[in-house]
Amino acid sequence: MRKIILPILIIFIVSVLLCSCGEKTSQEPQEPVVSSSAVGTPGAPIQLRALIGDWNTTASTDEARKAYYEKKMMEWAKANPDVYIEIDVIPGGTTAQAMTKLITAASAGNPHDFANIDSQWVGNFHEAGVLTSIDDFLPDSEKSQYFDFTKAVTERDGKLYNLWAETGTLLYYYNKNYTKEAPKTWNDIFSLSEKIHASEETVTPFLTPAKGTAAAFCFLPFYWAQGAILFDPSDNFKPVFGKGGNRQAMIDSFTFIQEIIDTGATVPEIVGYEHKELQAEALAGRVATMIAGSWVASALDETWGYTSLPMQKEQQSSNITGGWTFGFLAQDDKKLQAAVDFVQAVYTSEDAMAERLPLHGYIPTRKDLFDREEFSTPFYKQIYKELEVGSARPATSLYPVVESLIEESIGKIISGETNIESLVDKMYQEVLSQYNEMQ
Amino acid sequence: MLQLKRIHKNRWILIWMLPVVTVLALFYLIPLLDAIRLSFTNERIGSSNFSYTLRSYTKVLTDPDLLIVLRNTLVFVVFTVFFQLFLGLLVGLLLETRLKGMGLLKVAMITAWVVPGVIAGITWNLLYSSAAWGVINNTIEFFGIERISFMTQPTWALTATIITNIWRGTGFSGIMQYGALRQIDPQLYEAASIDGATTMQRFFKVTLPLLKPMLMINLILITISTVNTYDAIWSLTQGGPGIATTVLSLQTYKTTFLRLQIGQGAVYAVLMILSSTIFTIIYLRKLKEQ
Repeated sequence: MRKIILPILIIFIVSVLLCSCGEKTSQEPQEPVVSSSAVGTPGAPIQLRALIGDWNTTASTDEARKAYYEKKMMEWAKANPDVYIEIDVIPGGTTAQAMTKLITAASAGNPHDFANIDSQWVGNFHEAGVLTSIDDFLPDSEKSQYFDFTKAVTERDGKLYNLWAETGTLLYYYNKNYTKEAPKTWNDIFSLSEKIHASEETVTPFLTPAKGTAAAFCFLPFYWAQGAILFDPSDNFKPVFGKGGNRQAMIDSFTFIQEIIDTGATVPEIVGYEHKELQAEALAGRVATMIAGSWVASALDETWGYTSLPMQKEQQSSNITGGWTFGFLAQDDKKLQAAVDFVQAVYTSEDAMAERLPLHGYIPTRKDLFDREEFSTPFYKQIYKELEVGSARPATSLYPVVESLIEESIGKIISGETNIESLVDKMYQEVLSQYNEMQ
Repeated sequence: MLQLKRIHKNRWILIWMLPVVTVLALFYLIPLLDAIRLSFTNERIGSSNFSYTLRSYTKVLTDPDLLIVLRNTLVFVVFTVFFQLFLGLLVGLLLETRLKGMGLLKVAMITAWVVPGVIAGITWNLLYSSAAWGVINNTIEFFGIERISFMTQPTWALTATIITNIWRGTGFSGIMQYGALRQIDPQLYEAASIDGATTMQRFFKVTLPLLKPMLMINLILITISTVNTYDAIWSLTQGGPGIATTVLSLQTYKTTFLRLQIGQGAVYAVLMILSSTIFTIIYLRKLKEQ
């Protein structure tokens, strides 16, 4: 027995001694560190916890992006020796799980001090009452730079809660070999389709994503362009898409999806297509026109042009904006100031956005960037135009429900469901019943 | 008195079992009970207000989509389990022949089994896709056959999902049955041969009866894992087109994480537990009868 106890005792004593030595050294000044799990000076008096998408940290698999984050974070860490940020990363493709986990932790009183929040999830955080206003920590000159569409999400009752770090929008791409000018209306798409079918070309006249979150993302501009809304922000975000003109606009938008399938303007395979499949189809020369994300433009050659989305009527215009924000959940002023400073330095200041966004292929959310030479190209001029008419996805926790129901309905229509009115009414009843339960 | 003595006598067994019992209670029993509790609430993720009610049950049970989801689940489970078991048996028998290259087959089987569901879904998506990169469609088109819309037609989409899951699970089933086959005493085959039994008779009269206990255990494990499958389906079809490939596990995920209705999500989870339990009871009864 002694033979076992003695070595254990020695190991224990040595461990205790080593630990106590470690404590002594931790009191000495330490060098700042930058990694995917921490930024700042260990042992600093202000300690923060952050939740950030891995693509926005040094965990990025892209070398140029990784180098950017290492450089910017180290600069910030050296300039702020009194702050240490412990980072948890959101793995790509786990948005829903990460957001629900964060809301649950925040509601239970144990949130991160600041976090990357998908713009479509911000409403959930507002409703849970877990976000803290950052009005006192950011100068007005900075706040005023953001596009109007951001305010519907980042502001509540005139107070600023989030900083929208990057966005993406939609463009209508057209192959100049098939049409010199892009169709402007839905009828123009049908005309082009007839022309292409008559010429016995094997290309698909028109594609739009109909799978996953991309389905609703590419569908909603058709609906909004008709002057319709999903929720009424002045009535506590009550769902209104099943009533009057809104209901008709929803029916018309779904009918357009049905007609592009029935007329052969598109193929039923779109139900399995997101943006990346459309990009592949374009590169393979199998499509004449398509609605896809602004980030697809860089992959296409000069045979492709881009313009605003085709709408029901020529005078209509609309677009949608996605992307991620930073939300602030800390209650302590020092922590909030440190968090805002960090986010500004690495992600949202004019210089940070100018350097960072092109690395990712993201679009700026600040107007002042478009005054710079590198953001004055024809592409960015088109993007500016789109952002001016762009809308954010409504900042209510019921939006993800509507999004999921739109995706399901589009799938049903493509699979042959013909009763669109009943689909719209069912969607509306489902969302309204959830709204009533929440009140 | 007698019971106290027995407890005293077995106190060390109880102490050694305590960590396992604690882990089971903490990570299995309590979450299970909590899921059942949640199913009797109208709780929503992010909202602290909820009440105990049967409304989640009435909403789920009166939803017309539930019948489609249950039908999808039944088709998915029955076909997956049957083919995983049948093909697993063939693989087991093939491995038992100890022909050249069987080592490679074993590695291939295990690889398919250890591949995470999400990766399996993405890989098969690349194979089935109708887009420019769709491997199967490009191949059949090369041979002059018309492209197949695997992901567009509801029946094709469900079939594609089932094939993916069969591919994933056959390795596990095959290895299990190969292990059981190796336990069969070769003398039994010799005796059967001396009695004049043909190869088929040896299979049906010796191999199959002795494999039955393992087949039953395999059946239970495969059924439970198939009922719980959601990752491969999510990355392959996301439950679409419409809800054509939405099974109970996926509906639980969608209701909980996309629609944030954790109360209704818990109802679907309870339905999953019930269906797994029903399948298991049927199998265990069959096993007992035999």
